Amino acid sequence: MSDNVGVMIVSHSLAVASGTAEMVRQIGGDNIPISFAGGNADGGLGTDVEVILKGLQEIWTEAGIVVLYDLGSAEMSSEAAIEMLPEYQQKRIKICEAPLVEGAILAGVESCGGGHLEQVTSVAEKKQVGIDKISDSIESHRVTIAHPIGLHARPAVKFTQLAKSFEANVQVKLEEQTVWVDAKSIVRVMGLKARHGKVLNLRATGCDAAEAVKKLIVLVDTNFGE
Amino acid sequence: MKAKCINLLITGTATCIEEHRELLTELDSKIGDADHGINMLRGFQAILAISPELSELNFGEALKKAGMTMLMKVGGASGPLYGSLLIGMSKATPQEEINLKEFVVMLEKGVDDVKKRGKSDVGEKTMLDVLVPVSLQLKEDANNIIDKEQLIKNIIIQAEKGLEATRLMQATKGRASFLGERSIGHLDPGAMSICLLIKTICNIINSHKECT
Repeated sequence: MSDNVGVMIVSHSLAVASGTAEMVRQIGGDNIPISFAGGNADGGLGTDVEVILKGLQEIWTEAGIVVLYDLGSAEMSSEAAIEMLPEYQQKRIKICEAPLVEGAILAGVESCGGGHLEQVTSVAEKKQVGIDKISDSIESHRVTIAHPIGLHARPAVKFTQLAKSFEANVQVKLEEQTVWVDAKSIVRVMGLKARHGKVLNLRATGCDAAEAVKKLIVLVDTNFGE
Repeated sequence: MKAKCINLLITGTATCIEEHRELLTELDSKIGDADHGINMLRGFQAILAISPELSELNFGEALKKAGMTMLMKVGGASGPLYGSLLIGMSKATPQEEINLKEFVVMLEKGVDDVKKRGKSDVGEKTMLDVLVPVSLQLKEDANNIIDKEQLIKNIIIQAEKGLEATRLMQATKGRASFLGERSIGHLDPGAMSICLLIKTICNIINSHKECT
């Protein structure tokens, strides 16, 4: 069973839906469950509740599903389809308020990186969540990125995976900026565009917070083991 | 009696949509995506196709099944909206005969579900601009004993008034909202379809003793 959050794409157009799914699949590969629904039962533009329902059933796992849609009635049809599922499943299917293609790809990246349902949703919607859970009075730590490429792609994957291995709520930002982001989110961490020579700030709360910060600093200091 | 009435309602409403298909599409082409006529027809034909099965059921089950059919077959916004209306009404339908007060409760539940599904209310240039005043009128009339003809007259007046009111409204929901102020001056196709259907149902109830 896949532990990755599923991505359901709903468009009025079959071509848009399948094309978007293809783009997400290119990023997520076989790791993330993807399904799409596009067009009405006659093959014209529209949305088909039955197809959406089948898609959701097909890709359902306990990890949950995010739904990306294009226009109003696609949202209503998605809601109607979700309401036909058992209640415990309904709670773990989130409709995202995001542009279809961009949202689906961001969701795919986050899901592929192991993000949980709330992370995938907030990333797709470009919402800052969980960042104000840490008080500014918590001490922050500094580390300079020595890695030649910076905190991108592979290093970012290693960084977020290490962060996820801790219970603690861990946040990171560029020292020159003010906005903290979730250190467990691949999309957020890559979004920092933290290149070689930049200084990162790290802070964390939770039982293993100190350990988390210490290990992450070591990872950055040792060039992500590369 | 009940089976005959369900049949009359299904055939009557399906004919109504078929006759006004072009009008609905034309209105929708002005402020929407020009598919309201064809979508409504697809839904009502699908209901017509299962009318033998529906007329065997009690009113609540028949409403629910018809609502599910709209939901599944229409393929546009009217599917989930009409589906919510019918399924909502079915939730409040009594087992046996329906009296006027019980019907008022059914309609209120259906209208509430449409509001929830569309995240909308009166004044946004939608079917609710017809449904809400009709529902309120019915509620008022159910509390004052008036004869059937007057009741039906009152409903039709409210439905037509509600429809006409959408002409001057600016759409804030659905595809029409993209037009902003340019949506003003056109009747809303969803308000038109529900107004036509309400009038059709009123006529059926008025002229057939099976549906009294």
